[in-house]
Amino acid sequence: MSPFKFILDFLSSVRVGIVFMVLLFVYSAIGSAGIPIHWAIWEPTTWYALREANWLEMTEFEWFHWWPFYVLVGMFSLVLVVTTIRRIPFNRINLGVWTIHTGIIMLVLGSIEYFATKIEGDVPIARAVMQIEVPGQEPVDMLVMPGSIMTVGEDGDEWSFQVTSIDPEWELLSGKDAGTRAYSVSVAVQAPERRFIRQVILGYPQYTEDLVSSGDPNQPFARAIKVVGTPVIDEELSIRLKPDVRDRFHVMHSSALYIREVERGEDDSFVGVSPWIERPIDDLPRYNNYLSKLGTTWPFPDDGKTYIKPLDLRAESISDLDPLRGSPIQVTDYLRAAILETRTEPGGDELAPSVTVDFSTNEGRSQQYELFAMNQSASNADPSLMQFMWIEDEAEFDELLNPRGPRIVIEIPGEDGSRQTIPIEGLSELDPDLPMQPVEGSPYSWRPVRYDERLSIEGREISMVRVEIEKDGDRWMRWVFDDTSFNGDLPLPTPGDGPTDHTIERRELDTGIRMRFEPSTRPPAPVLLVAGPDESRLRLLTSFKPEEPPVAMDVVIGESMELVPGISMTVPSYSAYTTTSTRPSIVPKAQLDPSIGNMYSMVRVDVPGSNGREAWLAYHHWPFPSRNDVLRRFPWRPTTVDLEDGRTIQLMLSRRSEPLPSRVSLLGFDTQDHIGGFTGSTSSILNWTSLVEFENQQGSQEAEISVNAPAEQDGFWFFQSQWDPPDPARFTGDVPSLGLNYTVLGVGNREGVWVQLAGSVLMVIGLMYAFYVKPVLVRRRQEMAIAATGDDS
Amino acid sequence: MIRRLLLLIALLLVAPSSVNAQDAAAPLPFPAGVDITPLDVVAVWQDGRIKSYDSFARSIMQSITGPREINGQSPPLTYLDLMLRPEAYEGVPIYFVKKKPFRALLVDAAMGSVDPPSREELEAFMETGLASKALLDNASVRELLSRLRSDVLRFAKPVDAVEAAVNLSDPMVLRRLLILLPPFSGQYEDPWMTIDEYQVSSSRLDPNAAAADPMVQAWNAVVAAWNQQDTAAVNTALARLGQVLPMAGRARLAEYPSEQRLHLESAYFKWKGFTWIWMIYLVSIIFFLMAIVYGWSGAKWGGVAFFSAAFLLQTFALILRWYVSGRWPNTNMFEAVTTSTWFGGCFAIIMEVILGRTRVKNLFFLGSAMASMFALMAASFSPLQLSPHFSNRMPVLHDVWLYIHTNVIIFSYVLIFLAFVSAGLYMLVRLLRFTRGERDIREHVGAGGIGSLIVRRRGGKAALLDSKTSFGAVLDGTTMILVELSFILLWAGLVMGAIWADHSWGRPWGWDPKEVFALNTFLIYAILIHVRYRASDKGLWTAFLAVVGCAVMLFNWIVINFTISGLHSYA
Repeated sequence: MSPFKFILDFLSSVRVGIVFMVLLFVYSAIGSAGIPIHWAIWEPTTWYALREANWLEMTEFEWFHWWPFYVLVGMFSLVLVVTTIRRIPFNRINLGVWTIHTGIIMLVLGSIEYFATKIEGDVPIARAVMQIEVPGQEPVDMLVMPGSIMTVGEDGDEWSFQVTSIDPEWELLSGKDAGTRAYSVSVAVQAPERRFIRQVILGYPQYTEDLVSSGDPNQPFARAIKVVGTPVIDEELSIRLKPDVRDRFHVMHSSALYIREVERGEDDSFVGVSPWIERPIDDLPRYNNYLSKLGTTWPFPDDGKTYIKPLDLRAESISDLDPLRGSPIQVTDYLRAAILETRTEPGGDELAPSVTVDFSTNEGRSQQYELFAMNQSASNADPSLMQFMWIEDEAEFDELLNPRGPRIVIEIPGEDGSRQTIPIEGLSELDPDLPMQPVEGSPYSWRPVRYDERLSIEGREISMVRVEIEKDGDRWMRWVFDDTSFNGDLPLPTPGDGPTDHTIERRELDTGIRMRFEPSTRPPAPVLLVAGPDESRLRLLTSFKPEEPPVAMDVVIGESMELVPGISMTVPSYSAYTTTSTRPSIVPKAQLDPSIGNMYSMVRVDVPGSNGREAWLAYHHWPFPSRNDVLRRFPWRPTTVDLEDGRTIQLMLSRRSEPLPSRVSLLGFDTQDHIGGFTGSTSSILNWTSLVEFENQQGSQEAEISVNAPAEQDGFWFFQSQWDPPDPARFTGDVPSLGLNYTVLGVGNREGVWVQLAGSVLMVIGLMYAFYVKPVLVRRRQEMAIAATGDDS
Repeated sequence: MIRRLLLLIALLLVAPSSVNAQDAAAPLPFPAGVDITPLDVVAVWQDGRIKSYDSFARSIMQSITGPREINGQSPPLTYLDLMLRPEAYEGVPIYFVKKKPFRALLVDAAMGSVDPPSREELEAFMETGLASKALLDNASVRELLSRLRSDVLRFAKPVDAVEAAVNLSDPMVLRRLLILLPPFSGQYEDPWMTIDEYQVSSSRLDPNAAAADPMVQAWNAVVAAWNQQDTAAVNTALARLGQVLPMAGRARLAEYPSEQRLHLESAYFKWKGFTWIWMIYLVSIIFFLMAIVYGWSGAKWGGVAFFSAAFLLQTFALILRWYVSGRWPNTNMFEAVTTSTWFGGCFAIIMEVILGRTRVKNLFFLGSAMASMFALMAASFSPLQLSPHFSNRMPVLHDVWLYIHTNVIIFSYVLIFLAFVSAGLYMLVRLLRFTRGERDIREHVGAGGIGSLIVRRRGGKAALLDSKTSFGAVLDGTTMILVELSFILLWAGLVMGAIWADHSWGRPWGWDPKEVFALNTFLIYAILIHVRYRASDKGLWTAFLAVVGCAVMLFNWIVINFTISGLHSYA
């Protein structure tokens, strides 16, 4: 047999076709579900995802676009074509099978076109960008998100703006638009001389108005029109809302590194001196961890997902604007999910005592805490219950053991001035009849109202006392701190006076009397660990009852001490000298929710010109240019690297971007709700609709995009992908959100879809013909043969 | 004799059996006499839906007690009792832990603690899955739960379920969830209120009128009587509440459901979604098997009678569900499974009407009855996995393609199961013949499925019309009829799904596991068609691959849905 004939026979064998179908089945099953490694197939852990193995690292899309799949589909198609031509005569009887096979080939061809040209991703679009124009300054833009902050100007002429609230469904109450709902933004404006709130409404600039301090504690702000007679108190300040126009989208399952040069500002912030430049990264892993060496992360459990195997991926510069143009940045490490963590380790030469404390109860409950003497805010124990401190000498310890009460130091400046230290005994908050105490040798008298010791505020410890001061019949309140730079006065309202400004001036109204608060020397917490002055000495000071003196005892590392009946305490470790470093902490496989994808991934890069410094970069779902462009719930954590040549750059890991066929902006976003209205949960929503405007050289065009109703623009489909649900304040000082501040549109092309569809429909027609028409034709042929021969056997 | 014995067994199975398996524990004295039925016509707002109180309370209690009933009380009664008399449930095991291996871990932890619960309590927990708050509060158990929560793949969900159950059982939470009153505004999209919120709001408007409000009075009377455990007073107050709440609701909101709808919704859940119909199908299966194997016409008509009864009840349940939910039931797993088998019933009836005089008679009835029986058994015994409770559809499901694509696909799935039944019987017949020492047992119809009803064989008749055709060949022909139709429907359904996916997700095909395994089922059938063309033992290969195809379909429906997440995780 000639080789040609052999090949032709091979390719026209139904058995060979069946083998390819079986192989396609096996390939698809393995790529989609994985390989079962246990009989309990209903357990997720049974399914080993082969395509996620470290030697493959493929998404589903990549698995089905790998050469073995192409070979299988190609060979199957070839066998199908050759077999059909060679073995199936083209006639009425076989029309069905010809149609089916033609449909399959069309489907394959359409799919080749579709998948070869397929590109999809998403574009987030905010409801609005706020343009702020301060007199004498360049206009600046800020994405409108709850809590967004922007500062304009410099010392002496500094303006700060914070979005304090957003109501996406604000109902207009006046004018011809009454009853209309619009997107309303309230911005707290801190001008050099005053503070007010400006409300701007998207699409209704004519309704912009200010809210100013009313002096009424029940309703601190009032409309400017009622207080000063004009809707805005500062006509020169322009705040307006404009559309957020996007011209690029971000490609799904892609990776890119973004780089820009920055300058360090006075407040340690960074200002970009070059735009962000994109550097694509090809073949970045997705499912496993790759470390170039040990020690760059915190210790991690061996769960079979971390490989000590450096990556050799280069992010090449492709733009002349790249601050490191011509120099590739090498990606050496990849972590699928990790969190940057700052931890303390024993060692170094800096005195920074740290201690670990275990508490256990007789019922078997236990809890461990880590405390730092020099950095209370880093401790994870409740500071009102337990603290750790360092003492320089034994006198400090004696003070703790024999505590004195709080006191105030009063100083009358001047040549004849005096300085007195007076214990605080009694509080007018508890005793309204507490008499005013005269300050000797001065016209002042005072009385304490209330004191608070060792408050933990924004990472620092503060003690303060509020005192009433009187001089010549004038009385005011003074907030006196242990750090006098915080001191401030608040005028007390006088009966019959008008409204009072209730803001505390951070200055003393009367500088003729100076005060400083000295908190008590009582142990700051019922459980106090004290290290020093000897580096190896650690003592425990307990003071559970205020009326009793504290009890001290030496701590032996690892030895259990009974604090109170039923509760024991052990100190397993103590170090006087510690170092603090920040490294990624790898999320173990068992704790990894597969649905998070690579949202918490990180890479380590070797930056050229940085004296061998390597930097960890956290993944950003979208490469926001600045903090002012960040969407709610998404982080912005660029990594800053100082270069040897004195320049500073910032780097960010994100996704590749591609130009959109048209610029797109969001004109409106709406939800259609079920009965009972929008509750914030998805189950209360019937549909989401984004009203967008496409704009290109041909002009602009509005379109509505909602679930199941995409819009087409120049060959790309835009579909509703994500939304901004409401959420409460997430941390102290955060602004809660009513949501609906942005939309995310999916974007994708779909070349070849019609060929795919035509092939699929042909298959349906062919199947129906083959199964239901063909037997009728055969029967007719039989009937005709019987009629012709008269033999019906 | 055998014939009579079998008929007797079948008749015994028909004897009424208890639909509600009562838990063994004796009811508590007080709430046992409380009549909760007046609340059947009271509407409750839950997550954007209006439900009857019965339906609402059952859905909440399912999250706490799972499929179990506490002290033999109905879930709606337990809801109110837990809310108004929480002290009665202190120490009572009411929190359901589903997975047995998870229960075993909790038991191990509790036994290792310094104050372990009694062995009896732990044994009861292992058996029923019901844990008490004290058990869950055991220090070692809490520590274990806290540790297991970080094991995302294996234990995070069950731990979350336990914590959610404990949180839900808080009387304040139960009170907050009982949102009974439409908004004052009467607007469809304005939020509904709890009685407490209503009292506060109406007091602001007019304190005197609020105190005299019949709803407030009726509610307060219920609470007071409940606290006093005065059954008669509770029943009177509940009856009053059941009158005034719907009256006020309808006065305020045009969309307040009719009394009839609420009644029917409550009845639907009281009757456990009619999933117990599986028992009637089981009886019909016995009759049909007797009819098929022994050819008894009496058994056939017995089978038809029971099948018809079961199918009519299933149809009634489907229409009832359609009416009370306000949508065709094909949105969640429960609906997809039960509606799919209803399609199978319709198909079987049509086929039996058309082909009732051919050799394939009774086989479609048998296949359909088996599909319905297994589906309804699954729904009956696994109410947590196949939850019958109503919830709103995800926005993506509000599309006409939900009705087209999903119904075509689930119809093809039930046909695949029917093909599995005939293929399984074929393999059984072959096995029996093989064990009897017969070796020439290759049987098949020559011309495919419908072809074997049309194309003449040598001898003049089409295979499935010929009384000489062997039973194995008849089963093979039946399998092929089903394979052919499901092959077309499955492909058509896949294409329709791709069209839907194209405009909802922006791509017709995303290699989602559910898509891939639907395609794989199609591939198995494509292999079947071509193997049948080449294989010498066509019947056996056809049967084997039909079974494999059904296994792949079930794998897609069960393992992919519950274990391997994807875009189709709601279906």
